[in-house]
Order: sequence, then structure tokens, then C-alpha cells
Amino acid sequence: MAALRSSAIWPGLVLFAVVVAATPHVEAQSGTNVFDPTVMHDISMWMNSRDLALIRLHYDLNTHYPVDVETAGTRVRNVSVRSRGGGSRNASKLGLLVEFARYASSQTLDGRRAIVLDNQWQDPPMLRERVAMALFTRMGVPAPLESPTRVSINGTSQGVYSIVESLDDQFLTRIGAGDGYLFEFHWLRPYYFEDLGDDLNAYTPFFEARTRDTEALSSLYTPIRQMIAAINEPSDTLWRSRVEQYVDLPQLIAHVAVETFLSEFDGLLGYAGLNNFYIYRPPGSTRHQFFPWDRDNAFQEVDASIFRRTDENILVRRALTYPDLYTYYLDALEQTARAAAEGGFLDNQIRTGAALIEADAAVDVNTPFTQDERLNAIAYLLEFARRRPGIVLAQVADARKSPSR
Amino acid sequence: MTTRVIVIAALMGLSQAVLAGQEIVASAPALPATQAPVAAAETKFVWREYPSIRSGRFRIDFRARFTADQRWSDSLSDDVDDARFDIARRRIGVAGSFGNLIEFQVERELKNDVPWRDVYIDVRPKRELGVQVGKFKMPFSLDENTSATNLDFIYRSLAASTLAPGRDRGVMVHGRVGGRLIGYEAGVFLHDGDNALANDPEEVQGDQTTALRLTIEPISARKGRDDDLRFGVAWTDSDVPEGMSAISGDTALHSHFFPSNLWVRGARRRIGGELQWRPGPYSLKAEYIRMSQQRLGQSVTDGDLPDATADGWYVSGTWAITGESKSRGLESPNRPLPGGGFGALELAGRIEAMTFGSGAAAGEGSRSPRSDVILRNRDQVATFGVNWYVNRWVKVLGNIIRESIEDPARGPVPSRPVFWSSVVRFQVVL
Repeated sequence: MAALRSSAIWPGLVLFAVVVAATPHVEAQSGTNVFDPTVMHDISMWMNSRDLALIRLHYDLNTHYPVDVETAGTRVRNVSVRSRGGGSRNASKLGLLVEFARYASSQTLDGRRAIVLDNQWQDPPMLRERVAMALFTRMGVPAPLESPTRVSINGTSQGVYSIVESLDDQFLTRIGAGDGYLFEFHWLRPYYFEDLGDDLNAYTPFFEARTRDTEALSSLYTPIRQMIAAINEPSDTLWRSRVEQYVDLPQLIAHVAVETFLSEFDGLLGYAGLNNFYIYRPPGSTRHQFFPWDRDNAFQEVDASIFRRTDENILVRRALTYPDLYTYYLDALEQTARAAAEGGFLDNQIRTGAALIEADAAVDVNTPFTQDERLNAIAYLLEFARRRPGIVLAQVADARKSPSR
Repeated sequence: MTTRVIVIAALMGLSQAVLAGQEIVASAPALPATQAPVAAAETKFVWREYPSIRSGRFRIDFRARFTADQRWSDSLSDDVDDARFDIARRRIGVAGSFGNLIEFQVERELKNDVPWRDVYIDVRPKRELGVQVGKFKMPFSLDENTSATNLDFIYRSLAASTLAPGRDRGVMVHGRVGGRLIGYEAGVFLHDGDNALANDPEEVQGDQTTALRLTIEPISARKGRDDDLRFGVAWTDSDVPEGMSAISGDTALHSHFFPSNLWVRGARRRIGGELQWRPGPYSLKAEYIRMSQQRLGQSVTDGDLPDATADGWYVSGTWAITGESKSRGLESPNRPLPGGGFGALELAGRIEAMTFGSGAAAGEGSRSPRSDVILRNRDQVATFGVNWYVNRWVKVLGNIIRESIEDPARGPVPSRPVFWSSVVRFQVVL
């Protein structure tokens, strides 16, 4: 009867009386954990030849195409793929977002509704992404799960990829973060957390809602607008208390410390401003956390300064002026350097990762890098693992002589 | 909006003025006495039901139709005023004949993406054989081939408006055999109609289409008030190139409940069955239409997929409570307004359903545009209406529409499987 109270009916009821006429979980288990980093996975896809031509022709678009996906003997039908990535998008080695539930809402693979197939187009050793994320995870910074895989489409090898956990509500559940508000940051222009004003529409292009995306603009973006306004608070006296309402500062600093240890070129302290991160706001809270994304550009310079570009990002620059946060940053850097070196963690990650993919990487004809470039890149990573902890520890010791930035 | 109301009001006033007995007859100027007398018949302008020029056996009628709709619906956005008030049709045209041999019609929508509607000539040397050439409705579906002016409801049935092909350019032979006992129409058309028109570069329409319709009126020889019982069957066949099917499942108020993104290639076939009976003030109509579409080479492995299918049916009935005969039409009420009466009043009801799916029986359905088992969706609709034929020019229709979407997530109101709409239409025909 609730429908009968609808305002849409009453005009028609004036005309005549109403007679009311009378009126249905598919989970594919591959048998292995697709994110097991100790296994070289194998993902085969079948795609209509017309669609394959179209996705290569229009790799710059986010058009969805249907495919069947098979891994570890399990075939999942009616799966969606689309081209993905920023600078890594290309026609020959497609970066792909694979969505198992797009066309059948209850369909998953090993419980996952979506995975990312990272083409490692900007990762010469095909290892940076996975090794970097492993270090983030080791340091307690929530990061996507990753594993290596070979990918084929219609029986033709596409080369070595990384299976990357899609950052979504399932990721939040895995890390025990609740069902809050997750946003992916999109690089549109060099941006360093400058104030964007009161119009919430100014925030939506930068921060795309990945969960709760059907909620009102105000509930999604007002806390982000307030966070950025607080970051730009002119008074140093008020800045700390205001920003702490909207940013989990210790979590942010731990994130930046790992990123800095890894000499990340394109992250929170990126060469062209903010890039490659998600922010998360738990339900009922206004405080945001930062999660890393896309570490293809890590391990840039073994002797990079621990303060490189910390003065460009407004949030990080102003946070490091507080002595306790400055000390926290140095402590986090020291812990990261020690954890990377402890038991040869970083070295082992590189060696085992390289060995796992070697046979397939050696015949990957779609990678933009030559075999010499790949092998040299692996050698450089091993040098980074050997030298970087000592360099960072020395810089930290030096930095402790000052009370703040 | 105010302007629209004034236009409608003015048209209603004009029609009533004409009704009030002001028949306009303007004879052509008399020939000068010095000219030789001509055997040709007198040419004159006549305005009875509509403006008309007549000269001997030649006749040309000028026609116009204006309709305005006011809509309320749970499926319409509250902040879109234009969706609520709509001048749905502004149509002008001419129709004419030369004795019983030739009929022709040219009709154009004043504002539409496909402005030209019927543009054809029909040559009928015998009752048993006629040839029609031009753009006109394919011989498929009773409801689709009922003039918009004479519909019992504001909107045609979902099956007719979606699954019947509609108009296209072609040539058709037609005729009646045994009096009205058997009728036939068979034609070849360039494409498969404007109801299947592609709106997107990836969408495709059927190529050359053949159409056939056979009707039988088994009791037509009785010559009574209930003699127009008619059964009919119809069929169309066309070949569709590779692309996305342009045919989507739409609700009564034209919101999608099934997308037009299925990849198809191969034969598109429609079959239909129809029934009509109009005894006295009552009428009963029913139709069933099934469309199947091949999907050759459209699987993810380039193999063939089971046919995509769509089924639709309706059953409708009307009752002219003021007693007019339905088969003779209610357009000219016994007691028009003005003219001493109230016009004719008719109640109408229709139940219908349209289902989209695939021929594959086993397996879980999917929304993938290349799925072997298409996740079906269905719209069940009940429409209740009252029609007021004010006079031969003015008609007011009111409909209440209840729709139930099987998978509301793909419908216009994802949170509600059932929603209601009301529509009032003002129609002026000259």
C-alpha cells in the first residue's frame, strides 16, 4: 500500500478506480591463492577477436569487454576486462582491470570480485612493484597483495604481469578497516594539497570514491574539503589540532618514511606532486589514512636524501616542523631501513622474485625493455638492497642533530 | 510551458468553432465567359472533418495532429520538469485519393530525429490486389499498425512499440480474398524498421527485410455488430550485420530495463499472432510477438552463441459506456460537446509483459554482452485508462500504469521492483 501513497498515482485516480494486477553465489575456486607471492601464476583469457582488436585500438578508453578467465584449472565465464593505468597504458602489453562480478554480481575468483593485472610497463626488472609493496606490508602500512603471473590472451602469451589486489571494500575487510569511505587519488596536474575552495565538485576529479559511491556528495566529500582546508590553516598554532581531526598523522608519516626509503619517484612526494595513493576514512570518523598504490617507480636513487621533496607537499612539510612528528619520521625511516636489511629481507625479496619470473621474463616479447636492461635493473635492485639501509641510517643519524625541519 | 498551453487551448477552440456548424466551402472562381466550357469537375475547398480539396474523383485532405502529455511517475526524476510535460506529437500531412484506384499519404513530424513518417502511394486496381510503395509501416502487429490517433491507450503495448519493426521504405502487395474473409500483405523493405533503428555507431539494424501478414475474419459474412472478429499471423526476416543490437527493453515511459548492448550477427526473425473483436461498444485485442536474433561468431572464442530472444504479449479490452459502436469508431461521438452532449466515454484496461533473454536453457545468466545465457529481465505492466472523445477533433486520455520489473537493478528505479505512472494526454486532430 506504500506504493499507493505515491504522489505519482493520485492524478490518475481522479479518472478511474484502480484494479491491482498480481506478480530469483557463484564462487570460482582456483585451488590456489591468486595472491600467493611464492608461485608463478598462470592466467589465460579468451576474448572475441573483434573485442581484442578494439581494446588495442582504444586502449586509452575505459571500455569494458567480456572475457573468460582460466587459472589453476578453473574457468570463470563472463568476466569483464578494461584497459587501465596512467602512463603505463599501451596497446601491445595491456594493463587490465579484471572484474569477475561486473556481469554477474555474485561471481568471484577465490572470493575476489576484481583483480588488477599490472603490465609492469614502467618496471624494467618487473619486480619493483611487488618488492615495494612487500616492504610497505612488513612496515605495517596497509598495501595491496601482489603475486607474479604469466598472462595469455587467446593462447598468445602477453608476458609477465603482477596480480594486484584491487583496493575496494574487500581490501578494507581484509585489513580490518571497516566499511568506510575509500577514495582513489587521480593525478590531474601538479598538486600539493593546496586549498581547492568550498565547491565540493572541485574535489571529485582528484578523489574518486571507490566505496559508498552512491552516497550524497556532501557525505562523501565534506570531510575531504575540511581536511584540505585544515592542511592550509595559516596559523601554526592551530594547524596541528585542526589537521589531526582529519589526518592520521603517524600513519601518514610511516607511509612517507617507507616511500622515502624506497626512493619513490611518483608517490606522495612525487616529482610532479601527489600521486599513486588512496585515502580512507573509517565510518563515523573524519580522520583519513593513506594507502600506497602503483610502485613501478620505486628504487630510483640509492643515495637519495631522506628529505627529498618533503618541502613541496604542504601536509608533510608542515607536519615535519613539529619536533615529535619529525622524530617519529626519523624513527620510522630507521625502522624501515633496519627491517629492509634484517635477515636480508629486501635482498631475498628481489632474488626470489627474480628467480620466480626468470623463465617467462626472458621470453617476454611485449615488455618495452631489452633483456640487458632487465638484468641490469635486477642487479641495480640488489645493489639498492645492499647499500640503501646504510645510507638511510647515516642520514637519519645526521638528521637527529636537528630538532625539526 | 505557458505557450504550450495556449497553443493547445487555441487548437481546441478552433476545432470547436468548426464543429459548431461552420462548414467552409469555397468554390474555385468561375471561368470567364469568354473561355470555352471545360468538362472537368468543379474544384472546391471543403472543411468538414478536416480541410480538403476535391476535384471530381481526385481528393486531397490536409491533416494535423497535436498532442500534449502531462506525466507523473515514480520512474521520472523529480527535478526534470521537461520529463513531466511534453508536447509529444506535432504532426502535419496530406492524404489523398483518386477514386478507388490510388491512395497516397505524406506525413511529417514537425520536430523529430526521423521527421518523415508515412510517405507512400498505394495503387489498388482490384480489391484482391494492391501495390504500395514508399515509406510506411511493415505489415506486422495489430497494435503497431493502429493509427496513433485511434489508440485505446496513450502508449502502444511494449511488444508492439519494441518488437514490431515499424516503418521502413519498401514495396508491398496486399489485398483481400473472399470479401473480408482473408487478407494478405507481403513486402520487401530496405531495413527492419525504425523501431530497430541504430542510435550509436556500434549499433546495427537489420538489412533487407521481408515481411508477411495474413488475417482471417471468419464471421465477416454475418454483417452484424459483432462480425469483425479477426485473427492474424505475421512474420519478418532480416539479416543483421555484426554489431550491437539496437533493440533495448524499455518501460512504458521509455526508461531502459534491458540494454541494447548484446553483440549480434545473423538472422533476426519475428513472428506474431493477433486477435481483435469489437462487438458493439466492447473490444477485445490480444497479441503475442517473439523475436529471435542469431549471434553467429559472437562468443569470447569467436564461436556461435544461442539466439537472443524477446517475447511480448498483451491482452486489452475497452467498453464505450456511452454506447457507441467500437468497430465504427468513437471518433465521432453520438452526442458531441458542444452539440448537446458530453461526447463519448470509454473505459480501457490492458495487461502485458515483455521478456528479454536467450535461447540457452542451462547455466547461470550473465549481463555480459557475449554471454551464452543472457540474464533475463521482464517488465509486467497493467494499464487502466479512461478515454473521453469530446468531439471528432478533441480527445482526452488518462492512463494509470503499474510496472513490475523482475530485476529492478537494471530498471529505472533500482530500489523498487514496482512503480506507478500516470499520464494524461490532450489530443487535437484536424
